[in-house]
Order: sequence, then structure tokens, then C-alpha cells
Amino acid sequence: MIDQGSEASSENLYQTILKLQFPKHPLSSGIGLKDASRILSEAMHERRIAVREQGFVLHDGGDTFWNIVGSCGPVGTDPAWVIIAHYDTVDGSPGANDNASGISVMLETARLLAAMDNPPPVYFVAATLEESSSPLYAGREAVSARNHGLVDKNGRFMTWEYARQKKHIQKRAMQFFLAGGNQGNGYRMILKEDGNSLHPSMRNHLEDLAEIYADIDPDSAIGRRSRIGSTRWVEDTLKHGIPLAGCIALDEIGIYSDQPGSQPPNAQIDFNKFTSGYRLQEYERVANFLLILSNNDSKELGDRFEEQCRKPEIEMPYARAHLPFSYKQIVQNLPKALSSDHAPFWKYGIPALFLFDTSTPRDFWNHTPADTLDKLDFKRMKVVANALYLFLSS
Amino acid sequence: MQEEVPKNVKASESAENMYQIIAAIEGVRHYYQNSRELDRTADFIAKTMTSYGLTVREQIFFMDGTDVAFRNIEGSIGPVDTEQAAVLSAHYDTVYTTPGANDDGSGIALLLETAKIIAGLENPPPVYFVAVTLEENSNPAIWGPEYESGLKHGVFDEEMNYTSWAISQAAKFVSDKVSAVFMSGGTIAEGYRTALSEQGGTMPENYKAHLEKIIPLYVGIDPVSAIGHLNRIGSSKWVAEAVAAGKKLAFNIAIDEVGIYSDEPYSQGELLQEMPIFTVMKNQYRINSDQRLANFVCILTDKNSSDLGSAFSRACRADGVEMPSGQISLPMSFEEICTKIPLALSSDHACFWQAGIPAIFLFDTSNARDHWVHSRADTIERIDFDKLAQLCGAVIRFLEDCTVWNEADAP
Repeated sequence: MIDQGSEASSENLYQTILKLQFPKHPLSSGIGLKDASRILSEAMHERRIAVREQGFVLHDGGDTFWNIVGSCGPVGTDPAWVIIAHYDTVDGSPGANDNASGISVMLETARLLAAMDNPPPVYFVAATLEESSSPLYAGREAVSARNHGLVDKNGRFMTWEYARQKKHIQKRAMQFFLAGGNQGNGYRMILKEDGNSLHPSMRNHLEDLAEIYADIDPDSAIGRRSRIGSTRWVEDTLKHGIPLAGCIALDEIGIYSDQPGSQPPNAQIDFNKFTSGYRLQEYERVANFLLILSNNDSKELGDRFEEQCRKPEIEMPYARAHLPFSYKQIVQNLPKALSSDHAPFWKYGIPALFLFDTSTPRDFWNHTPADTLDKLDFKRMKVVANALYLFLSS
Repeated sequence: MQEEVPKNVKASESAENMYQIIAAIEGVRHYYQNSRELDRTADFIAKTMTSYGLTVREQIFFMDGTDVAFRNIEGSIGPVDTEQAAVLSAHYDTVYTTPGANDDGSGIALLLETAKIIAGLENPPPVYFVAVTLEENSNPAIWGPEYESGLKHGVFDEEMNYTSWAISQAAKFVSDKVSAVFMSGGTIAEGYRTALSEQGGTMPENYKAHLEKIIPLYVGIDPVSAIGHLNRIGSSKWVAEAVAAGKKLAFNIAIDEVGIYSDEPYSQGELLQEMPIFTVMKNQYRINSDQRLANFVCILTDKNSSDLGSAFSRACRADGVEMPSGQISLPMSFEEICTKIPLALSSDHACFWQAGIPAIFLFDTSNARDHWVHSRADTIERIDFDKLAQLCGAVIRFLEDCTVWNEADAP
């Protein structure tokens, strides 16, 4: 079944995503999460990778969630590398790009590394609960919306007025949070400033939100509201004194285009923010590149990964966004940069890169039911897998 | 918050009404996957029209390849038997697996809300409101055999995901080739044969076998014969019947995908690279070409409907209406359009043009801005109901003035 060639295979990547393309969400598709963890476990066995399943609960008596962790080489003794990708999805999305794309490239890199005579020490972490889907937060928010009659049993707003008002609230709350604020305080501020123009049921819902998210700010959100599986894995690994060399987080790495204008302007992610790049077509705004995000602790790691991408056997167009800041500075000034599973690594001072396709500026299907594999570029994903293999094997 | 609420109470009511209509019909409406939902939607439309006081009539027809009874729902108001009547049309079928909130739930919502308001006038103008079926490419004599062949040959799974990357690559090449041949006036079968002769050697065997099986289904289907056969089937049947019955029709407004808008810079793409939209549009109202905002409705007209389109443009900026708009006016006859720019035939206005009835096509430019069209993400949360309410205001204004227009502008 699996193509056993000595290079990454586009067909292998496609088949992995075809198998994993369904909703995997703790509130609406818990069975999908369980099915996916079984498929991942089997896929790692098939690639002759040692597998361990890390289960955890969010509260006493709650469901158990699973990280599926593969490894090769002398992990536990030598400082190990980590490739991490999450396998959960948002509600109702099949998650082909977010994030079966990251999972498939991780598994393909794992296959190549495991076939070496003396593989380097590498963990392959398929993490759960990366999305903001915690039953304690998103779950309580959904219950509140239902209780106040804002949505039907499928989560669809009962009226256009509710839909428009909630959209407005989310936009303002997000701005507040991304400026470093406490999420509950954000909702309280909106209640105070806009409360009079809101429907009474929406006001009641907003009061619930202020309470539900009272302990969420850009620092505490990591591991509590989202990035939960990855945070548990990092904390568990550090607790056991296992040495780590560094991490590469993959989240949405499948959407590319060679069309002019395919990389639309964006306030956060744009050509003028990139610190370096390779084969970028800035003038035509072409979405042909992978984005490499690093912070103070991972500057050197980023430089070395850039080198791999420029090698003649790889030639992967990339943009580098290096943030010359500490984790603390990023929490205060740039929480947007903490938007995936690299965040807990940064939090605990482990060098980590975040590789992604820039997400929403170019990916119109992100977090929708249309996040399906027909949108993905399996040629470029293959090149990313080859680059990772080269990086970790040399 | 305050400034986002429409000042016009009527507009805000219309927005809410249209939200409820789309909420009621959102879901796959495809004969093969979900014919019950097609029926339920037809019933809903008929019931809603009746409740507004329209005279409702159904046109039922059958197609080879299925037992499903296809239904066009026609509501009428005003002196349609004695005076030249306007025809508003929108389709209620969807493509496979698509909830069709924008395509074309938005058109149905606009149709019904307009019907409600027009029916409430003291002396309503003569208007047919026609909700048609089978607008999409789903002729049961073609779609069914193609789908079953794909499954049988292992080309795609039940949700039409290609079973391998190799097949998906081949299918992309073929689809681009077929589209290029068809859009330059050729037949779909010729497109497939060209693709096979160019790259058949490298294609997976099961995919080639599938192509051989489906090519006969597409023999002779070019941009002209496609209308009413491959697609626009319900509207063609309605027009044919209306013409045969000697109905007096003044013009048609075809509404298909009118719900997607954005104020983000560069949200508007191109329909055709060789026809830059901001350059070719006339009668531009509140268009921002520097920022390329997808904030407007597009009015497409041919040689016979250019003046009608200009009148509609005026309705978009009438008192109490504020609908950014632009008109693409093709200075061509139906025959010229068929050979030069078949893309312009992509909805139900095509069969009115074909029958020599002036018709304007209202749309949000579809995939030039709507990245979710024909996907599972064509859902209600992407639709801008405040914009839709402004567009409804323009349609009402236009219909109220249409008798005036007839006198002033008719040749």
C-alpha cells in the first residue's frame, strides 16, 4: 500500500489525507477523534515507528483525549527533535489542510527517517485539542448560546440579527485579546459599550461569555482554551526529564498557488513583514511559499531550516518571519504569533519553528466544511517532507 | 454597532425575512442525492407564494434516467394576462453535496421577498416569479451514468473524492482541457478526446476506461446545445411553455448567487483574465477599483437588454436604495455570445436570450469572489443579508418603474 521509495511520495501524502478527511471535534464529532487516533496509531505501526498513546482528561470524570506519539532513534537519552502536528478539527470541518496536511507530512518524514540504519532521535507527535474546542470553554459557550435561544440544535443562528451581533462581538473580542487583554474583560467591555444596541438574549449570552472566559489571556489560553494536547505533551516530557533539541510544528501546509494575486494583502502576514525569503514573487503577490516563523530561542534553527530549503535537491520557496522577541514579549505584543502548537514549546523555552502556508490570507476554506483535499498541492507538500527529512537526517 | 444597522426599518425586515427563507431551505437539493429535499423545497416555495397572495401554478416534467418528477414553481401577480409581464427567476436545485445557501438560496430568498412586497402593493405590476429546477449540470441522463461509472471504475468515492493523487492529477488536466475546448465553442466530447490523445498514455487505466464510458454522453454538447439539455433545463421548459402559450413577456431578471460581498481590499477577482472587470463595467455605482472591493452586484446584459440593465443600475441608486453595482454590457447577440464568450451563458437568463426575450442577469460574480460556490461551505453564515436587502430594494424600485421604463425607453 505505502510507496516505500527513498523520497517523500505525493501519493502517500494523498492517501493519508483521504483516510483522515472527516470532522474530529470533541463536542460534535467525538467519534471522529477516536477513529482518527486509531488510524494514526496504525499508520505509525505500518511505518515501523514505535507508538505510545498519551491519554489525559480535562476534569474529573471527563472524556479521555489522546495524543498519538511515535518515535525513532535514541530518544530519552540523546536530545530529541520533535515534529508536531494536530489531528483535531473545528466543528464540522473535514480538516484536510487543517491539519491532515501537517499530519501527512509528519508521517511521510517519519517513514523516511525510520528506514535509516541509524535514525536520529525524533518524536512524531500527533496532538489532539489544538483548536479552541475545550468542553470547558467552547463547550460552555455553545450551551449558553443554545440556552439563550440564539442558535438551533445545529448551532445555526435563529435570526440574522443574532448572527450579525455575534459576528461583531467576536471581532471586537478578538481585537481586545490580540492586544494582550483578558478575554473575559473583552466581553465585559463590549457589554458596557455596545450593550444597549444588543438584543437582550445576546446581552445575557455576553454575560455568560465574560464569566466562561474570565481566566483566559494570551498566556493562559495556551493549554487551557486551545493547544491543549501539545501543552500536555510538553509538560509531561519535561516532567520526565527527557532532553529535547528543538521542535518543528506543522499546521496547514498544503495550500499554494502560482497565480498572480493569490497571496492577498493582510495586516499581520504580508511581504513587508518577512525578514528573508527565497523565490518570492512579491510584486505579483504569488502564494507559492511556505512561511517559517521563529522567535529569539529558535533563530538559529530557522536559519538552518532555510539552508535546507535552498539546497538544489529541495528548492522550496519560503518566507521567513523571524520575531526577535522572547516568549513574554510575544504574549504581550503579538499573541497572534502563538496560534499553533509551537506555542507551548516557546512558553517552556524550547527552540521551535512554526511552518505553515499563511492560513487565512490565502486559504479561503480554512475552518469550513470545504477544507477538503482537492484544494491541496501535493507536489509542494512532498518537497516540504523532503526538506524536513534532509534537515533531521543531516 | 449603531452604524452597521440599516437605517431603513423595511430593509432590516427584509434582511430578516430572507435569512429565514435561506435557513428553511439550506441543504443539498439534488435529484440523485436528495430528491425529497427538492420536493420539500418546491412545496415550501409554493406555500410561501400562496401565503403572499400570488397565483401559484406548477410545471411538472420528467427526464430520462430517473423517476423523479421535476417541478418549476410559478407565482404570478398583477395583470399578467393583459399586459406585458416581467419574469423574475431563480433556481432552487443545487449541485451534489452542496447546501446551496448562496447558489441559489440567495436568489430564491430575493425572489420570495420581492414577491411579498410587490404582492402588498395596491396595484401590483404584472410579474411572474419563477422558481426553477435543474439549473445546474445535473441532467439525470448524463449525471447518473457518469457518477455510477466513476464509482464502478474506482475513480472516485461516494463523495466524489478521487481515489488517488495520480487520478486527481489526470482529472485536473482533462477538466482544464474540456473547459478550454467548450469555452471556445467546441463540444465536451471533443474536449475529452483531445485530452486523451494528448496525455492518455500517462493516465491510470481505470480513469481512461471511465472517460471512454462517459464520452458518448457528451457528444454534440456545445455551448448552444448545452442550454436546456446539460443545464438550465427547468428554465428552458418554462420559457418554451410560456412562448407556446402566447404569454406576453416584457423581460426577465435572472437571479443566481447574489449573497457574497466583502469590503476587504483585493476581495474581487476576475471573471475572465482578458476582460478586466473594473475596466469593462459601465454605470458603476460605489465601485472601488483601486482597492478591488467585492462590494457590488454585477448586472450582465446582452445587446437586447443593455438599456434594461442601465435602468436597473439607476434603481440601485434610487431614493432609499444604496446598492453598489456595475453593469457588464456585452454588445453582442445571443449567437455571437455563444461563439465568443460562452461563460456569459452560465445561468437561467441564457434561455430567455435564446428565445429573444430581453434578460438581465444579477449575480455577485460567483467564483471571481465566492470561493465556496459548489462546495460544502456554501452556507448561510457567508451571506450578507443587509446587502441582499438593499438589492431587494433595487428590484422593487425597478419593477415599480418598469411600466414607466417601457414607455420611456422602448424602441
